[in-house]
Amino acid sequence: MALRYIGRRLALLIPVTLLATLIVFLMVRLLPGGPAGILAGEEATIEEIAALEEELGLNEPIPLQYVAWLGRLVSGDLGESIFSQLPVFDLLMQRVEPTISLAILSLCLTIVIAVPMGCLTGAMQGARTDRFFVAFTGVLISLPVFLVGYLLIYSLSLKMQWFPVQGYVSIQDGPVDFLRHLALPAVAVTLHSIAFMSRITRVSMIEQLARDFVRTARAKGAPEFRVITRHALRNAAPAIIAVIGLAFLNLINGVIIVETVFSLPGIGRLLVGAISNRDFPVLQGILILFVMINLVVNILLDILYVVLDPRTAAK
Amino acid sequence: MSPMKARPTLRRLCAAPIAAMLATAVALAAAIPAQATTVKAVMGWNVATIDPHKTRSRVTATHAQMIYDQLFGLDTALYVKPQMVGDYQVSDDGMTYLFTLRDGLAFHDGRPVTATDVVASMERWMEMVRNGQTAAEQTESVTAIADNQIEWQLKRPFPFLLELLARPTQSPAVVMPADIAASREALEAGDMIGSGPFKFAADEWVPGAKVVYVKNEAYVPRSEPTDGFTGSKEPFVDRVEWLVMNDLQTAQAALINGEIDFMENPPFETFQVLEASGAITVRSLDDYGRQGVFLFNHAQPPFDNKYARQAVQWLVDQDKFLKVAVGREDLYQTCLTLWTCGSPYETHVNSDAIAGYDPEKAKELFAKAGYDGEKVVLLENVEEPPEDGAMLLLAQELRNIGVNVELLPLDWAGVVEHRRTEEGWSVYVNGARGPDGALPVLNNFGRTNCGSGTGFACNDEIAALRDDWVFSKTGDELKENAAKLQDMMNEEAIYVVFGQWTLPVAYRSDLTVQDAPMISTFFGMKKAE
Repeated sequence: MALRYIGRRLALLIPVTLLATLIVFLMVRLLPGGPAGILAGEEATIEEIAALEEELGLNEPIPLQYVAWLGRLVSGDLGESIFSQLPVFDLLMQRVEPTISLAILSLCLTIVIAVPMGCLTGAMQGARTDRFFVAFTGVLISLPVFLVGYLLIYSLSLKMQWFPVQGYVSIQDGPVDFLRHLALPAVAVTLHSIAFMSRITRVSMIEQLARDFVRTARAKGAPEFRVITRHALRNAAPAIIAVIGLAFLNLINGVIIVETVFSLPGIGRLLVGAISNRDFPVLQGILILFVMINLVVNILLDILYVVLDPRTAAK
Repeated sequence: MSPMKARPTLRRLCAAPIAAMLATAVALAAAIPAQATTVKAVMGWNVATIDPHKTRSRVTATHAQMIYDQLFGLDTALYVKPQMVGDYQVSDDGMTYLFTLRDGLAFHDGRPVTATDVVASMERWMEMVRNGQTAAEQTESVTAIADNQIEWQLKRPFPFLLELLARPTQSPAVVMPADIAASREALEAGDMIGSGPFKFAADEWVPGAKVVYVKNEAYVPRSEPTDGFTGSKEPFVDRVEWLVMNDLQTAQAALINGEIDFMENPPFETFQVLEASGAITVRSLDDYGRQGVFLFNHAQPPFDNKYARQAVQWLVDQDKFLKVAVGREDLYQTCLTLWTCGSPYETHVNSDAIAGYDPEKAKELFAKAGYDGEKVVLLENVEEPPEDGAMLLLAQELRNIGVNVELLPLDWAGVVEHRRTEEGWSVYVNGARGPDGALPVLNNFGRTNCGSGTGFACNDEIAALRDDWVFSKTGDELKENAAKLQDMMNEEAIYVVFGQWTLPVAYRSDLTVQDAPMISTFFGMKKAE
């Protein structure tokens, strides 16, 4: 049953991906303006721009361009940047490290802080600490990422001089510098996820702690720590894992803003540049990558649900 | 042994090891390379494409000035001087130029620069670049007559040739190896070989994030001091990194924090903060800056009628527009010429309407143009705050006299898309760096060639006068014809100037930065140890 369910989910990937390529392609082509106007420079004449469009093949009918792009995509070729002339795959590879590093660091921070915080406040429902937590996380959720970024830069970089304002240092060039450069972006992008995830964890814990099996465990004299970790948290796990998946996707999407604010040379910045330049192949490549990450994470979450709770497949 | 006698022995005993230690220290100090000086800069734009002949983008021209050299250069006063050329002669009839290259010029890969490379590079420039095409129209042939000599044969006397060869912007006439120049395809990172003061670090290029240049140790400087794009052009810093920062607030913070050394086009509103930091210099590298202009759709009502265009002249109170666009009085000047204030061709002929402000007259002119309430679509370029501010004010001025205005906020790509057809737009806003707008023939806003099908001005008489301007025989005649051209263009209100402002750069005070027209230069730049 579980294998059939997973197989069905995997099979769905093909039509969903195909649909995604069409949506991505149309979204990109619906943007006003094209790369030729940018490539030609701000003082270029209309004739020069038209000649460039012809040269770049942008005058071909849109369906033909889509089919050509899809054909290359199927064979693993994402095309070349109109501006740098470099393969889109190489550009992505150049930029993937900062983005993945930031996403992983942020996810680790989120899990390490949010899950215990959610469990603790869930177990202390109604207490002063819990009420403060609800209010505080409410504020965190409503803070825009860019504002947190600027506040961190102003206070910890410009005033205290503890962290650099911008830039990225690879972990190979020194773990301390790596962490110094990623610390503020990670905090900026994580605060929202911590607040969101700890609230979900708290609610799940409150639900589980009110269930009969918890009451039974307590009646049997099980210590409270054991009740929380072995009984309540275990049963709250599927909901928490779902939120971890969502948090990861949020982080991937959130890095676009954070990479811009902290000038990290990651995929988010590549995307912003590609939008600004209307570099269609790069833009399509990144969007498809994001779509694929979203699809794969969702599939993995579905599989995890089934593993953790086989009844999901039957449902 | 008495102490008196022991002392020299002791001295002798100690002398040898001390000398050895000193010698070792000196040798070690010599062996350790001096700390390489690196300048980190945030440029106004990202170097999206690196082929200098594939785009007229200014940042690509700046990139070209790092790695290439030109036969002639432009100094800070906009005079043309020989650069790669050592000597040159012009025949009495003005039809033949003989250029002799300086001795010892070499490309970054070690190959000598020869006349064959120059000819191939000029052929590429004349085929791919508009300024080059202008030169090509007047050119009979360009020939390498010796390893270091080029003969440029013209169809008719064309003194403007050297001006075109010296332009640092608008796809400059740079020299590259003949085998690379032979390609008409876009050059790739591995092709970035010039003979200029810096080498392109192809393996460190991260498009959209970082461009790296290293000092060309073999650069052969001229003996004169650096002056704009002429003279020595010697590189003093070992490495230049251009970092792309989309967020200017971040770039400003990085500059204050000392993480970067140089920043182009800091937003006007940040100057106070930058100057207050005490370690940053904010200043303009040229006296010309940028001239802001409103351009009309000449193919659609109401601006297909010259009276409606003239009405806009009467609505533009430059001082008011510049206050909104720029803000700081020390950064802007009202400017009544189409040919850049401060340039040799500045003239105030037929500029009463631009100098004046009379909404009532503007209203009358709209009525005279037969305006009956049709929608006027103004294209806002939100990526350029000064020009965007000016457009918002124009919208208000037009509304005040009863014009039906629609503002369309767009990024630059969106503006380009809209203005390329005859429909859907009425006015857009743009600007030109001073020296690019100073010469009537290079001033793109003044192009009035008919048949573009795009809404741009169409006036054969002005177009002919503009094309002939370059053949004016004397300096006085050039000025006279520039004034004549402005007279006709203002009468037709081809476009409207709303002022001129400088574009300062900001840099750490331990840098010494050279003045240069239009674009920032990194040769001649020094960084205190």
